Amino acid sequence: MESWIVETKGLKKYYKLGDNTVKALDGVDFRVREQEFVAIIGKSGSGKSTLLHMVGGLDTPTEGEVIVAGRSLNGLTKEELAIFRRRKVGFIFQNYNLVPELNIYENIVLPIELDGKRIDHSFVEGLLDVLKLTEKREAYPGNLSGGQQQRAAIARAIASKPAIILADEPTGNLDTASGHDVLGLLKTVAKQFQQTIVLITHDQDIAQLADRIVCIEDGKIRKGSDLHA
Amino acid sequence: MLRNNNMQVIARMAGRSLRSHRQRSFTMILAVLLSSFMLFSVMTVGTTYFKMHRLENLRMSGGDFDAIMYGVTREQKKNCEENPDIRTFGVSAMSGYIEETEFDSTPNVSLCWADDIWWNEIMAPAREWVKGDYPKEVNEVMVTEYALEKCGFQGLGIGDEFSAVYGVRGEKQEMTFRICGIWDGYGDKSMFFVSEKFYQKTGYELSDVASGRICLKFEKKLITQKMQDAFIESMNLGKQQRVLFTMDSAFSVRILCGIAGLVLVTCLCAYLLIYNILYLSVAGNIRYYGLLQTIGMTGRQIRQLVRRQMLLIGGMGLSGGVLLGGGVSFFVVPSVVKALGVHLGKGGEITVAFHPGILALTVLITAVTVCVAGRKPAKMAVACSPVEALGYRPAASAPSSPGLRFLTGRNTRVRKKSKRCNRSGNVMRQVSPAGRIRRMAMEQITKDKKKSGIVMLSLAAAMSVFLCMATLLASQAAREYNSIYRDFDMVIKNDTLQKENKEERVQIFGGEVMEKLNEIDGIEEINPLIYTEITVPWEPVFADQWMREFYDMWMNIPYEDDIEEYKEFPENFGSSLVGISKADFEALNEMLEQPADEEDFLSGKTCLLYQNGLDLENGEVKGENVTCTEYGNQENARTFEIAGLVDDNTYTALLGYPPTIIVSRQAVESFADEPVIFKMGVRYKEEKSRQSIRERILQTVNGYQPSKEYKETESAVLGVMEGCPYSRDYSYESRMKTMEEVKRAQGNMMEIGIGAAFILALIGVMNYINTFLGNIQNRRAEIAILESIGMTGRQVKRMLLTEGLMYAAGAWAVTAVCGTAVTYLIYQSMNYMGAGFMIPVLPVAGMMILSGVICVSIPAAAYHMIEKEGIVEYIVMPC
Repeated sequence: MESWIVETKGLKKYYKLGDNTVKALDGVDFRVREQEFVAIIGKSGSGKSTLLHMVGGLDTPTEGEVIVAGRSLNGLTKEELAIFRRRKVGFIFQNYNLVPELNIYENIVLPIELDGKRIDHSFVEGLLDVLKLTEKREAYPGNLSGGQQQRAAIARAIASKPAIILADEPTGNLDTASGHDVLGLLKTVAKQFQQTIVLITHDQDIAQLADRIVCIEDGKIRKGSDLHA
Repeated sequence: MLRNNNMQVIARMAGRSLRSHRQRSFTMILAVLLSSFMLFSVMTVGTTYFKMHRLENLRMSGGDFDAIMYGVTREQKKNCEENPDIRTFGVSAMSGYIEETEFDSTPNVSLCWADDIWWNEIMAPAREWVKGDYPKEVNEVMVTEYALEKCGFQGLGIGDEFSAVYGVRGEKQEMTFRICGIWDGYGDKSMFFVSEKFYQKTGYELSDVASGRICLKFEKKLITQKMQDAFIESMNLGKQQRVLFTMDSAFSVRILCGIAGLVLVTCLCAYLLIYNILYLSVAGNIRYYGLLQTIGMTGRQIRQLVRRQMLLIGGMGLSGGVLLGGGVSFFVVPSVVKALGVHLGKGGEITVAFHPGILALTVLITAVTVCVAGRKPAKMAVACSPVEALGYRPAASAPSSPGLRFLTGRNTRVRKKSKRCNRSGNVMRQVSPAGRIRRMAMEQITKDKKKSGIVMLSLAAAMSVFLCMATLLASQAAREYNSIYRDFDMVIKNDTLQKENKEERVQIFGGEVMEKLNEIDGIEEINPLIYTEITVPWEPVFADQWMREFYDMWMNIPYEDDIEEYKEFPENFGSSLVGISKADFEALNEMLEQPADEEDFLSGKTCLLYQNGLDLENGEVKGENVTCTEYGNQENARTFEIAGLVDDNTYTALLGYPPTIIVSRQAVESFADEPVIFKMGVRYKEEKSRQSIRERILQTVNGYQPSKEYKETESAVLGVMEGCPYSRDYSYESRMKTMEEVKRAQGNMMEIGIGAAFILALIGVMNYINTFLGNIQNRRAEIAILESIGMTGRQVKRMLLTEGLMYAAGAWAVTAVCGTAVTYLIYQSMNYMGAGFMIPVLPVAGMMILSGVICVSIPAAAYHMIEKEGIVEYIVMPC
């Protein structure tokens, strides 16, 4: 039997919008293998970000189940979900979401520090080196370019050695060159540190970098879309 | 090009914008309303407080004057007439004393002549009522009921006559006086005012320091130290002359600065309050302004739109604030003042009322504050580009346009290198989760230092005013005013010492009186001071030096005129040998720069001398010997080594030309057979030990009230004294009496001060709430990011609580440094009776706890508000 690092079963997320019900996710069954690089593609409003938020424990489903690293997220309290996120998930957002008051190094080690764990300095140094951020370790996010900030976000996502990295349109705010640069680095780092990546994008070219592409449409995974890139 | 009139549409949009955001508009109007109300109230209360303070000083001084000078020559009087800085001056002259009446041989009442200005202008504001006219004939007197009572003539009225022996320049005369008027009020009431004819008959001169007084009222209300020094310089004072400025004049600049500071702090707080709300309003609407620009609204039009909104908000808030302030001034404050028991009489009582100047100033300051506070948000609304505004989220990524930089304050500052990096810059020390949270909280405080600083200042202002009021209440509360030596509760004096005839100066606190006093349960200690009369024979070293100085300072004739008489008949130059207890010595010794040896003093080897205002240095006399003989028995002589000079006149019995020699009680008792008790201090049993918890709580809430037992002890002591054979030959001072007098003089000053503290506290807390909630709103996305990477709710809450505590700690620190310093200055400016400075621990601890609770509960409430919200909407960039 195959082991899945992420598994969703009949995942549904409905929103009430006045008298209407919006079905952001409508029974999604989705699986990711360990060390796999999966790209989820879909149009705007298709539900790809909602799926990512469910998998990352940022949002709770209306129905269905999310299992990450063998643990169901159903029934976890807010506190437990926060702890789950900092231990099991590394997020990379389109708008970087770095903490502006902390410098790059502090941003990278923040989830580890919040967890009270010991920082693996050599690991972080290695990350900085691979992501070409060694020189910028003391800089504050406001003083860096978009590409540099996104690389810092990647470092933060990987630093705590999570079970899975969730990247939501990581190149959305970057120019093409920076975008490719960042994605190339993400893939390199993921390989080097044996990480699993779920990436959301609406760009087919970017999706081609993944091991597998999943297409989502109107809150459902399009049949036959689960393709190997 | 034709000018396009688009003001109508802008006005319509401004109005609709306010209407469509009712809650936000209401908050802003409320902020302006409260700010203008607070400014109005603070200025009204401040002005009233200033007036009350002046009134209090006026009452304590017994007249409305800025300075008093003792002894005035013709040239100096002329100088005052010609001095353009002096508005008016009045003169008075001590014209003798009532020596005795048929009912009292020691009445302690003086005779004084006052000129027209002194009586009608200077004294008038301190008088509550006057009946009859000022004396014109030689035998006419203007009296007080208090002075009549001291002479034993209680119940006499206008037109009644009484006989009394009065003393003038050492001579006794008898006269039948006719009462031509009675007055009551504040100041020295133990005197009879006499006519100019009487004064002229006495032969006293205005230039006599012991007699002449001149009271000066200056043109300017504020008299700086420089002006005071210049005036003293211009008067060319003689050695014996003194000029004393009243507390009001001496500290008027400081007091006014204090009130101006209070208004400034209020303005600052109000500015921040309005600015914060407008800032948040614009920040929250940045996309709306971007949209307006997208559809073609120019920067000028947007500015006009924001200004129009400010105008509407400011107009409504200001009107409401002034109406509220007016209502408070007209109805609430006067009612409170009346309810506090302040009687509106001729003594110059203040009624808080509406003042047009204050209204104008409030309108002006609020308008300027709204205008200034609205400028930056208006600029901000104009400066952001439409495209960026549509993608703007507060406190997220680094903005590139100047408009957005306004909002985030990022990209504009260079951060210092982290201190946590080692020299090589490679390894950083790991911090614990708690340490990380503390650091992040600190980052928030230091991120916008200006704003954090003003919030702390705002909180500190309220706390400082409270600290000041609490300190004044505690230190200057009536109970703390005690002029009695060694803090005794009562001092009883033997008034027979004032008798001219030595045989009449007798022991009035004999065995029976002492026995009865000792039987009173509430008395803890009785401390008698004894004396015996002595002569200090002439000798060329110390005695000669002392007498030369004495004549130089106090006498109008040269020492050489009397030196032969002194050498031959030293008994004509009497003095006294005073015996004190060990505790008295310890109290005196504390005042000495070079303390005296206790053992030598108690054994009778050394003595202390009362300095009597002479220009003698301790070093000049220390170590020298002084010899005294028993009065009338030159055989009984004793020599003491001088251990020091003391200024405290508590330990003087009969002041002669030679020095008052202070020695141990045993030394006096071994020297004279029957020393006389001239004064005794009575201490009641410690009140606190006898107070119930209920009494203590009531005391904290209502201010000090003597306990029932305390009052009973005082009555018992007075009962014993009234029942003794010399019941008319004693006088007393008591802490309770002083307390009542001070309470009466202070009026409602303290309550008004507490009102000011309350208003400032309200501003401070509102500012804090506003800033914190605004801060949370701005940081919502940032908090969501932290939660997304695994910060738990508890950690977020702890971070916010830490921030709250840091605000509180900052405010405490400012209060501890600046507040205490200001409190001390204000305290000293009002410390007309020399009460000790004391910060009350309980109220201040309460204040700190309360402020801490407020500072922590607001973040807790703010977190409670946001914890139900989801994270997703804040962390995802809108597309």
